[in-house]
Amino acid sequence: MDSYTYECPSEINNQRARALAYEESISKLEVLARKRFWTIEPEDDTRSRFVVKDQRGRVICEPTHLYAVRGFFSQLPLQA
Amino acid sequence: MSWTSIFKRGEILTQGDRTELEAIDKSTSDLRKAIERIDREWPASGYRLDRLRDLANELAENPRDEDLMGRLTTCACMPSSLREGFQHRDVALGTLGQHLNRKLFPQKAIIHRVLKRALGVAEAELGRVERKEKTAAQEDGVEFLPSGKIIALQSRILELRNAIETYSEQIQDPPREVGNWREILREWL
Repeated sequence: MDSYTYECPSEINNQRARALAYEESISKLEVLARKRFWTIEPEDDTRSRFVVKDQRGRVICEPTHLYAVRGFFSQLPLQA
Repeated sequence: MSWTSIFKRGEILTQGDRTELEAIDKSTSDLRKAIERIDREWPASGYRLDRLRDLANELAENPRDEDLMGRLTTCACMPSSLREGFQHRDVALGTLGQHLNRKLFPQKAIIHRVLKRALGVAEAELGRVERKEKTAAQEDGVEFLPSGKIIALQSRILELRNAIETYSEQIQDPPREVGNWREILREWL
């Protein structure tokens, strides 16, 4: 193993933690969407941008990054 | 689809609940009458002297009229300045209103119970209709698109969930307004 491809174990763990946190924030937003009978779908396989769609499949929030989707939900009135 | 076919009469708001709600209403009827009487009989501030003069003129023609005498006394006791002209009403009606809300508070628990029952029924109906429409779409080989009935049920469920979530078992101090249970339930059922 040469020094260029070497990744120290802590770095791998960091990446794993970041990936888990990313998935967790997606699932949190999915819960918010499900409350309103909406869905959150990734724009493509990279799962970097997401679309919010309503029950009939109409796009409510254009493809954006997670932080913007979070902002989109935060400006809506509270839903139990 | 009509809501009465989903929220059947007597099933959501049962006779027991209705009797309880009406009993609480009945127990506060005297208090309501007192509030209405103060609201009706206490004059607003302003033109106090003019009103006193008019009443005194009326009393002069009919000196034995006790009602007129009472109104004259009330009018004479009212504050006349613009700065304090509203406080007497606010203090009296506000305190009585707090007592009324405290007495009406048990109605909230009953309304909460009734709305929960309605939510359960609406959710069951939504599941049933959705399943039916999905199988129909599958049989026809077309994409499932929720119908207006599903959308209506979903929006009603969202409203009911919000209404149920705002309920708190603890009474606030001062107690918040409970409102008329008939009007509250008419919004959803």
